[in-house]
Amino acid sequence: MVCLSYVSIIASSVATDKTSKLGEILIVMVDAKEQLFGKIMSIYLLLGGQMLIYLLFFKIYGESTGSRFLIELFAKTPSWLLVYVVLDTIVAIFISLIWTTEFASYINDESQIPAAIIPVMLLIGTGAVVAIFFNSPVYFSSGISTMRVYINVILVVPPIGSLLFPTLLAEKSVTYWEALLNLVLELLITTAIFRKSVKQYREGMLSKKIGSPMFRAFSMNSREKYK
Amino acid sequence: MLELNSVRKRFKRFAAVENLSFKVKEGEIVSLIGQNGAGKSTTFHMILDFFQPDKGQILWDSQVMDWRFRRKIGYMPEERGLYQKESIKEQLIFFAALHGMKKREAEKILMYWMEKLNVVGKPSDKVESLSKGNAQKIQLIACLMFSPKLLILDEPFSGLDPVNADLLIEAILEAKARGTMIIFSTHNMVNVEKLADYIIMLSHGETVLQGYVDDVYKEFGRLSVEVEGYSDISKLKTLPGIERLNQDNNGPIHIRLQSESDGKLLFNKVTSEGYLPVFNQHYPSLEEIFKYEVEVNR
Repeated sequence: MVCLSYVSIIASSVATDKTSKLGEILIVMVDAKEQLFGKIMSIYLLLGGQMLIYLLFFKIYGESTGSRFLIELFAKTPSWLLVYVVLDTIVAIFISLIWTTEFASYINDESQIPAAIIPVMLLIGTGAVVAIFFNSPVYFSSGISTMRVYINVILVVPPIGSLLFPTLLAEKSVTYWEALLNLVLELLITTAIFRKSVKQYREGMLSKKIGSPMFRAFSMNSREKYK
Repeated sequence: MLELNSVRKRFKRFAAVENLSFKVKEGEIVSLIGQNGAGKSTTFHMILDFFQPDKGQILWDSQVMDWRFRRKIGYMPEERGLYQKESIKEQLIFFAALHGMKKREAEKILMYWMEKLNVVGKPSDKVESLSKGNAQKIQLIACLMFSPKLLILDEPFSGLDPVNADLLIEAILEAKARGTMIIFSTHNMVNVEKLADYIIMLSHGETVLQGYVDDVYKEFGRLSVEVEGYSDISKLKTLPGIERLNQDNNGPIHIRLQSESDGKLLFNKVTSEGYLPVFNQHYPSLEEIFKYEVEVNR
């Protein structure tokens, strides 16, 4: 959910730059890589702020009601799991934002923003569906090997793995080493995607045309414009 | 100094720029002239390192051009754009900050240029409330306010009335006087004549003509003549050395000579019949040269 709310922010930001026809000017002033990094870092700052507000809320709530919910939550959660969850969240948000930026760089009209968000939503949705399979008691005991291979493969696709591993770790269905290996693999894939995205972002900011029929379909204005 | 050496850029089979070479020195204005699709914007995009040339080199002070030099460049693209919902001041201070300028310094310079370019409106006005001409001036200010070393202006005069075009010319000349290297593209040859030191005419990516403006004129010679007050055009048609002539609605007669010396014969002929208010043998205008080159290279 956090990923979903943030991807729409970054999609709007890229759309504003593009629809203001400022792409070329901004790319001259700030390199595409720095721009992308800046946008992503500001989202992390927002996330940090949001988390701080939640913690403060629970602290004030706990102090006023005598509830020990937060203290017990942290006390009962293994510290390694907490560290992993934080790292995993960072990677999941990062990759969701990168995917969205890549799609958003095709946008030429604000009405096309959903087109940039939907692919990422589908990925996150896939993660959720796979989680149901993965966390079902029969999954590890059954011999549905094809399904297991399929799921094991798509686990490496960021951010699907990032969405699943914290719960798998908590249930002790996987070891820390396996979770860490997945994180490293996702980071490597994310780095490769980021490099490609910088190039795509730069080209997208310079382009005045809508190349993808999918994006045309999402905007009546553009459909009329490109008839 | 900016230097392009035998630069080529192709998009699949389409040759956008072929074998383009030129230099821009400090305090010099170079104009790229050409029809749509001639390769002007592609040249700008290569200088800005948006993409690399397939062949050749772009050097800035003998170093290969890369994104690090971009912050020294003021760029006004053909497609104008500003954040419509933001005020002039907020927006330009943001752009100035991206170039490392302090807020107070940026505010001062913004006021100077708004006054200089006669921008109608206050710094607190939102961009959406500005006329097209004023928004264009604001965009030029965004390029000028951090004193760029290189100024690239893609069709800066499009959509401007003559009064505002003159204000823009003044601003560009002020940047030139400060030592800024300037490259601009335009279809309006009158503004090229007012501004450019050096011109490059492009046609379908090929350089068809280039040189210092005075040298280009001399290369073509004083082959154009305008005559007013002479009525019998048929007598001139039979004269030797006349390449072509035409007259607009009994107005001035426009003549193209085969060589400069033919002008004397023509002068003697038209003045032998009495008073003549205008006989002007001159270099062809850049517009005439441009049309000629486009025709020859078609």
